Amino acid sequence: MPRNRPPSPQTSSVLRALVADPDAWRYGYELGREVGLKAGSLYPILIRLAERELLEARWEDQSEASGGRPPRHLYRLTGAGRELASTLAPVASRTSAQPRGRHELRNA
Amino acid sequence: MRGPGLVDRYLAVVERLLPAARRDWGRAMRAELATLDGAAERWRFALGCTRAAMLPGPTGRAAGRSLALVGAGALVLGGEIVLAGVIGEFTPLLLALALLAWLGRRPSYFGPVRPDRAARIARSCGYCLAAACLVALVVAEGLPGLFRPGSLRSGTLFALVLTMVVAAFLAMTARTTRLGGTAMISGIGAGLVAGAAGFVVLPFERIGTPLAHGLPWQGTGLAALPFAAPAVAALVTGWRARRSDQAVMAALCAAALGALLIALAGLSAIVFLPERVPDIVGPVMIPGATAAQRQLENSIEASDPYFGLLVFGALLAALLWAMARPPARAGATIALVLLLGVPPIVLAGTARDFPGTTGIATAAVAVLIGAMVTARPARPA
Repeated sequence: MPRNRPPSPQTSSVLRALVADPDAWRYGYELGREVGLKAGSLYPILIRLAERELLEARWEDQSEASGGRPPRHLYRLTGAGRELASTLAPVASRTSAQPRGRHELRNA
Repeated sequence: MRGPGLVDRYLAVVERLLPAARRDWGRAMRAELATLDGAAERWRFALGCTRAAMLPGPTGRAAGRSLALVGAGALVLGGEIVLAGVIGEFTPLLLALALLAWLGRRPSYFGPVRPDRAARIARSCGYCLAAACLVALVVAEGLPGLFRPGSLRSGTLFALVLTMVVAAFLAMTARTTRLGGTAMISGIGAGLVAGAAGFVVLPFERIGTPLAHGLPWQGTGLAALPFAAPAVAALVTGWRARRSDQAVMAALCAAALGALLIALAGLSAIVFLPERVPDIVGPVMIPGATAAQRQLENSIEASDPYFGLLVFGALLAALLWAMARPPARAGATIALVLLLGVPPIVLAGTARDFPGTTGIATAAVAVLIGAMVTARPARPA
């Protein structure tokens, strides 16, 4: 049974990014760049959100894929995911809303 | 169109590692990789995906928990801790550690962990250290006499030390800590160096042949490391963070971790390799004793300095805890004084069993901790 503990800061930042435009389908790499997470952190979050039915996924249509590359996976929040995202406390500023990069941490 | 490169093949292998239910995620990662340019970026992405592929699934997590339960059961039975008296000794310690681990995940004085790599690594080190101590303790229970079973003092000492160490690690890696990332990393790095060097130079205290005997100049260079490493940690932190309190905390972190590691390595060596313990008591001191009795007495004698170091390391950790704590109001300060003051006093009393210098050092550090906790003004972070 899933536990109802608050999401981690990284998960919260992903949820906030997704709920900013809840109807849009997002790519994993683009989402990771936006919230400052690498694949090793982002994908476990996406997998867990999907397993808890907070995230839905679909494959890109052939018409959307270009240049002969394989279709990508697209993600957006489910109703339950949007509900959870709406309960997150709003962030005070951009710096606290997004995980800081390595260079920013060094200068902190 | 060019064929798949090495990184594509690598990610294809990673995809095969995923359980069938998550194979789509592997395909998703490969599709994302196809859109990326630049070898470095592509490798970074693929290596990140490797970490994601190792995420245990719901079945894996359930299997892991079952395995842990079975392992714990086997450890309990194999470690002969089914005896009622020993359970009485272990239960408060395990309950205290479980409570601390629970508090460490909730918004509290001990948690949650600060969201940066340094804090996560430091907290993991603390848990590993505690787990290693528990394993050594369980194994030692099968060696009658070494920790003087039945002696409340011995069990209480170990429980207090372990609780203090875990509490210190949790507090110094919590979001409210004043310990900076540079101080934490340099302190832990220097502590690992100091611990390893100290153990190599000083195995089995004063009589045994040091492990460094075969090294150039009999490892005399290594003898400086346990003292030099904390100093280097302080210098590096002071230089990078430009704050003296961070430098002091880095040195304390290194010294505490170094002392704890030397003690843990020494006690583990005595527990696991009792035949390597030198003949400290000699045939004259216990006339007519069997070889097994002599070995046991030797183990007890050899363990004393390591117990002293264990106490010393725990007190340094408590001092670090006191320095790294967030500002608190008067009521919270009084609670902290009680929380931090009682264990050192008990430990100082216990330290009478150890060589005199350790007892004096222990008492001195206990006084220092009390003074620091009470004298520190509350001020905004």
